[in-house]
This record gives sequence, C-alpha cells and structure tokens, in this order.
Amino acid sequence: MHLILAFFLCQQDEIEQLKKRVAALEEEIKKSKGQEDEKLKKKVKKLEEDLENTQIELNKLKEKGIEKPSALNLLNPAITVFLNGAARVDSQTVMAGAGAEAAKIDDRMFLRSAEVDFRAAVDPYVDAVLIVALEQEPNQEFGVEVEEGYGVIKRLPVLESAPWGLRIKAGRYRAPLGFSNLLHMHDLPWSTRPQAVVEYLGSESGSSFFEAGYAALGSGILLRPPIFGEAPSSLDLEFHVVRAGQIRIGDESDNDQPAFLGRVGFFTKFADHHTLSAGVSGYFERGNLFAGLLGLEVLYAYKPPGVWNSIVVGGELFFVRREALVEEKDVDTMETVEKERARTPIGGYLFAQYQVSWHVYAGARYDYVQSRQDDDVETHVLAGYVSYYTSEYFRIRAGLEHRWSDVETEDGDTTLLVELNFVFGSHPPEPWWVYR
Amino acid sequence: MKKMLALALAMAPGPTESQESKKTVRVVTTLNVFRHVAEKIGGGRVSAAALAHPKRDPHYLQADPVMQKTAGGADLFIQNGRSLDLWANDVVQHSGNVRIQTSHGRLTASHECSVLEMPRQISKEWGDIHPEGNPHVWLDPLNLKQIARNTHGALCAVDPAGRATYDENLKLFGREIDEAMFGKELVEEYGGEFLWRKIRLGKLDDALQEDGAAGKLGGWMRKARALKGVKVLSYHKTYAYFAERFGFHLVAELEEKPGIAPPPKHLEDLLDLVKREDVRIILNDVFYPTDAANYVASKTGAKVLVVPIDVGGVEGVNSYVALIEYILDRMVSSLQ
Repeated sequence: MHLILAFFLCQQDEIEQLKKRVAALEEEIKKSKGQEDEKLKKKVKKLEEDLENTQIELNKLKEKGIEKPSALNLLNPAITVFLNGAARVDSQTVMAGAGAEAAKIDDRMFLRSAEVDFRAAVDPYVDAVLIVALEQEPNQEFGVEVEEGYGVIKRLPVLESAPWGLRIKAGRYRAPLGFSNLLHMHDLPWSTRPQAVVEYLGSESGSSFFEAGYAALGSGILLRPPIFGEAPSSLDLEFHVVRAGQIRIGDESDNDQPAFLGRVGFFTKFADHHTLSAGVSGYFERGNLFAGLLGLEVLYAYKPPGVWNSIVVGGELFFVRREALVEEKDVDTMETVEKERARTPIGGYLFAQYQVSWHVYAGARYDYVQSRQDDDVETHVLAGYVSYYTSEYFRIRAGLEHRWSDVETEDGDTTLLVELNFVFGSHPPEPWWVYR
Repeated sequence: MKKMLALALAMAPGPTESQESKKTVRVVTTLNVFRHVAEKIGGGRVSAAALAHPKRDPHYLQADPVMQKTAGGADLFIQNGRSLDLWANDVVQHSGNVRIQTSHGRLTASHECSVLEMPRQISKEWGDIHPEGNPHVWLDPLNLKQIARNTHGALCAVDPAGRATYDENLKLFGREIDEAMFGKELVEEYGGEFLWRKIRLGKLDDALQEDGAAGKLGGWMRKARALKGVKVLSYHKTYAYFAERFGFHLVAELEEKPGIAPPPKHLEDLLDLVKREDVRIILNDVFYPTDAANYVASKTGAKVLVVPIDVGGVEGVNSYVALIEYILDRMVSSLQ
C-alpha cells in the first residue's frame, strides 16, 4: 500500500512541478514576444521549444498516471481457474468406481473438476506450477488432490548456460507418455479420455468420463539437441526417474522402487501453415513384477491464415507388456498355484477435427483397447463431437459415443454427452487443438 | 569445486578485439516488425528471426517446439508486451536459454511508448480486453521510433562493442522514418525533432502555416491530408494509433467486443451507424475473414480494405516504411 501511495505522490508532485514550469514559460514568452531584438527572438524560440517539450512531458506523465501500478499483487502467481462440468444420458446402466466406491453414473450431471492453476517464477533459476483440483467422483462425493505440483530448474546454479537447453523438472506432473496424457480434461478436444489412456495409464474410477491418465512423482531432464540447425524442426528428449507402481499397468506394492520413463518428440513446420509432430515414449518398472509400455503418437495440423477453417488429425498407439500373478492349476501337483504370466495388450485411438467456423469445431474419434488383464477382452468406441466457443474462456461441447465391448456390462452403450468449460483469471495458453 | 570452475573460466581466453568486432548478435522477435527494426539498428552485427508469421493473428499463436528451439539460440529476445503476445512467455520459459530469461536479454518493445485506450475497468465482461492498453503501438511511427530506441538500448547492453554501429544506425533509421513521415525537404529545413514536437501537440499545421511552409509538407503526412476526418470502421481495435497519427476517425469495430467474432445482430446494428456516419472505409486485418466486412460493405457502399499490420503481411511489404505506405495508399486511393 505504501508503495502505491509513494508512487502517486511522486507522480503528482512531478505533474505539479511541470504545470508550474509551463505557466512560468508561457509568462516569460508573453513578456519577450514582440521584441525586435534578434537575441530576444532566439530566446523566445528557445522558450517555446522548452514549453512544448515540457507540455509533451506533462502529457506523458498524465498518460502514465492512468497506468496504475498494481503493487499489491505484482509478485503473486498467475492464477487461472478451470471449471469442467458434464452431463450424460445413456442407453443402459453404467457403473464406475471400484468396490465400495462403485456407483451408477448414467443419466447424471457432474462437476468433473474445478482446477486452480498457479504459475510463477520462483527466482531467476526456477519456475513453479501448482494445480489443485476438486473432482466429483462417481459416488457424487468431492475429492481434492494435487493434480500437478512441480518446479522447473531452467538455469543451473553452477553452469550458468546449460547444454542443449537442459532443464530439470521435479515434483508431480502429468507424464509425457503420448500427447493427450499431458492435457488436463478441460483442454481435451473430446469429452472423455481415450480408452487406452484410461486402461493403461490410470483412472481411479475406471471410467473414461472422469479425469484419468498418469501423473508421475519424480524428476526428469529435458533436452533439445540442436540437430536440425536452422530448419523449422526440433527434437525434444526427456528422461525421468519416477516412483513405480503409480501407473495403472504397474504394481502398487512396488512404490518403493524406481521406474523410468522417457520420450523422444519430433516437431516440424512445412509448407507455411502445416505442422507435424511425432513421438515415441516408454515406461519401465521392475519391482515384484515387470510393467512396460511403448507409446507411439502422431499429430498433424493445418491452419491457413485469413480463414477460420483448420484441420487436426492424430492418434496414439500403446503397446504394453505387464506381468501379473495368475492362479493356475499345476499339472503335476494339481494344486492351485500363483504363476507369473505376461500380458501384452495393445490399445490406441485415431481422431480428426475440422474447424467449421470461428466458433465451431467438429470431430470424431475411434478407440480400440484390449484389457490390461486379458488381451482377449476388447472394447471399441466410436464418438463424434461438436464444440462451440463463445470465446476462448467459455466452451460448450456435445458428443455422442457408442461402445462395443466384450465386457457385457459395457457392450452396446450409447451415451449422449454435454460438456461446459469455464476459464477465468489469468490468460492461460490456448489448447493446442484451437486455431485462430 | 565451484572456486576451481570459476578460476578456470576466468583464465580461459576471452574474445579478441577482432572477434568482438565481428560478433553476430542473434535476435529473436515475436513480430516481424521488431525483426525489421533489430536489423535496421543492428546492421551487420545482428542476425534476426521472427517467430510469428505476419499473416497470422499475433494474439493467438501457440508456443510450438520450433519457436522454443529458435529462442534457445537467441542473445536477445524482443516481444511487444501489453498482453498482445502472451505466448512469448511460454516460448522463453521452454527455450532452455538462460540469456533471455532474465536481465538484459529480453526486451519489451512497447516500453515507454505512448499508449491509448487504457481501460478504466478491467473485466472479461468487456471481451478479451488488453489490461495494459491497446497493444498495437507500432502502427504509430512515433512509437516505432521509441521501439527503435528501446532496441538500440537492448543491443548496446548485449553487445557493448557494437555501440558505435548501433548509434549510427539509430540515427539513420530515425531519419528514414522522419523523411517518410514529413518529406525530405521539410526534415532538412526544420529537423525531425521540431516536426515531431509540433505534431505531438497538434500544432504542425499552424506552425507550417505561420512559416509559409505548408506546401513543403511531404511524405505520409501529405498523403494523410486526404484522410482527415474520414470515418472508418475496423474489424478489431487494431488501428487506434494509426488513426490518431494520420487524422481519420474510427467509429466502431465489427467485433462486438474484442476477441468475439461479430454476431449477426451486431452487424445489423452497425449498418445504421455506418450509414449515419457516412463510413467510407472498412479496415480488415489480413488474418481475419472478410465475410462480416463484405456484408456491411454490400449494404452501405463502404469499401473493404484487407491490410497487413506487420512487415511481410502482404507481398512486397518488406519494411516498416513500406507497411505504412501500403495502408495509407490503399486508404487514400479507395476514397477517389
């Protein structure tokens, strides 16, 4: 408060001084004008010059006076709030959640998440992000969790200039396994998560309707080797050491073991308004049991200038290998024993989106996934979506999904979805699938 | 360990005088106009690249990996500021380049520029307003001179050995803008400083009349006489500075509120205004669709002009002088 007051008092003082100077100069010019003496004429000209410069300074200060400094919140983090709500109508009963938490979610509305996103520079060396979410669960209760909380060391204390743009990330963050896992629900171009992400990366509810995906707890390094020179292409490398057992294909009891994940991402721009990105990511943990995942991703976008029509096409494919203990009858002893068996399910999705106008985007997605517990159990989902932007801060989406599944309780379900997203507070980066 | 490293670095040979004199400062900018200014001031000591395509809306770009990679090699990063190119923060943060994260490696070009349309109330109710005032400052040549001075200061800080070059180029570029603005003859007679002082106080015409020099006015100011008091519509609040400097009057925007595409009802309401005010021109930025502008023009007889706002936004507009010339020429010829 003292800072603002001091600033204004100084400015007001300066403005008053300049006003007095203007008045004094005008008076002096009045007295000196009309004189024939050459010296006096020059003096008048100089005085007029001074007067004009002082008037310009005065105008500038008055302009600055309107730019009130907000000293009170200058050092606060940038805060953005995201509200995501959705309603669904189903053709049959749909359950989500496990065990005692299982509940019906068909024909209901949910405030799926209320996220508060804080971002700030901690000091010249580190940026920090904290995202706290209140999420409504299938049983209608609200849970609070730290969606992400991490720091990025962008400038090393010893080596002032890091090789290959080295940065170090530490904390809890959405893992770079594919590109859709990096996005929070409110930034997705669809109303549900891809089935493969739910099945292999993580989901408390087991349902693609609620927030899902994998947030790792650990640390990693990010590099950008300069192999493309001046060409409009880049290669990004990441390697992370994280706590094992937190990914859905992993073993929870292994959480005292390290797991490893990495990603190689390629990005290029070509023919002016086309972009292509492709990546390979992997996850590995070996504690009591082995769990590994290989992800392939590709994303193409075309956005011509001067028209509000863009195209985005992409997909992800995951190959999983996980060991699980399975009860089997030993052929020699005829006793039931637990044996390690490896499952190798695969799953992925393809999607396409077309921007019809400034406000409207239309898209479709096809999912295919094999169960992580039994690769013979398959699920297919076909979905269509229409998204409407009133502005970048308010988005409405309607979607229709149909499911074919070897899981009897899921097979044949058709779901109509309506989703609303509200964004307020600090200006967030736009979701990547939006082009203007 | 740290002490040994510091000692080793201190003992390592620094650049020789000839190496310093040949140094190339790598400048990365958000907009092409800043790249152009950096090259003008930097001359042979600077290699500059712009991240934004001049035909794309600079409000809504995304910080892609290629932008981050490009910024990763920069000695100096220049952005507009005033909440126009917020995506620049993402570029810098993910660039892995410590030189542009702090201290003098990063410049906000609009610093100390004269600012219009500072909002008294800030709320998203008013659309996607810019809380630090209208950010399209570079479209006023006087502000462009301030941007050039800011760029000069930043280059001197990053490359002190190049000061003499930057000083000379700043003078030359300033003269180039002055002559384009007022005409060579008038600048030679009165000096740019005098003319800018008069124009800032709205006294240029009177001063020239008093001296009998009104006929000597050349350059953009001479061309802009034809625009004095002309009523103009624009798609977005892009041309406030341009209008202020060259004397035409912006009556409204096709956007109902900033960042919100024109709804049909708003366009219908605008038709009355356009007819009543005798709006002659509709300025449509090159990256906005022209449907709304064409609709209003078809009902009112106003002329739609699709114009660039950045260097390179249209073929042949390869400099700041060419950019201002292009817009002025299109406007003036549309009135004939």
